[in-house]
Amino acid sequence: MTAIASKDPNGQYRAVQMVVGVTAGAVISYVFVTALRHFGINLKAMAWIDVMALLQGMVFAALGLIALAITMSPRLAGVQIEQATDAPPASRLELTLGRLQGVVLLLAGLLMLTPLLASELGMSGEQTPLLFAVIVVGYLLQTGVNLAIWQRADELMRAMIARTSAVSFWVLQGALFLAASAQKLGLLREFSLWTAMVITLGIYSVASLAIAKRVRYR
Amino acid sequence: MRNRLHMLRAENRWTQADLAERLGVSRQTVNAIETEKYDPSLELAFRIAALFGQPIEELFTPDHRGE
Repeated sequence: MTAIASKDPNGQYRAVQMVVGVTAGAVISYVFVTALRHFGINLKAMAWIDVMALLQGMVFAALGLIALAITMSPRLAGVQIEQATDAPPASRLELTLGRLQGVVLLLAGLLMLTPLLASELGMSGEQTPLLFAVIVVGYLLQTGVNLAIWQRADELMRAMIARTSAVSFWVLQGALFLAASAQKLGLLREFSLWTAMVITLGIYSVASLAIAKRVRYR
Repeated sequence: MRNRLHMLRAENRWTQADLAERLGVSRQTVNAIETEKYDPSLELAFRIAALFGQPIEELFTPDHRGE
């Protein structure tokens, strides 16, 4: 079997991917929305930026869990890499990188959701410094995993990370300048660091997806 | 940059995974080079040339050649 012949002309891979994706998405969304209701969090009463943050956190966490589940099977991971049902199994390095990326995504989601849900649940007083300490530890852990990915990555992955960072910096630096100018002129009302962070992460995610799409398997 | 990687790999009956393992890179990298979405570093280009026993200019040609 060669990779030349391994492309999936019948779209079998895409059909399976769509079914698995939709099913996993529906199950995860149902569990999450049920949990929100259980804790009395009303989505309709939330600010739009918090709903956006909630969606981002949920998507990151779900993608992380899906990546971790896929990398439990070398065969399934190989299929996911080549996007063809007859692809060879993933190598040990590919599995390691997939798992590390899964952990980064899961942590990103959890870190995003923690302050948001704590705020929605009305957490205050002595609990908040402790929660912040947990967030700091989680962030340091995620940074460590990101460094591990960089160390194990080959040159294409490093190039993609570098390009995503460059595009994000370029776009966000420009956006920051324009927003600051508009605020100085009284044309834009002040916004919180939380709002800026959610928008920043959103732009980074879009840049990351766009750059990954350019070099994906075909 | 244009390249002949896909053809040379097919001649050797290697999968992208086989070639990736020999080069010490991921198969995404092999795929991206073959589909000319990514130009390899000079170091990787030399490794590819050495693997196929050909001069580097026989494998990679600039887009603007002949213009």
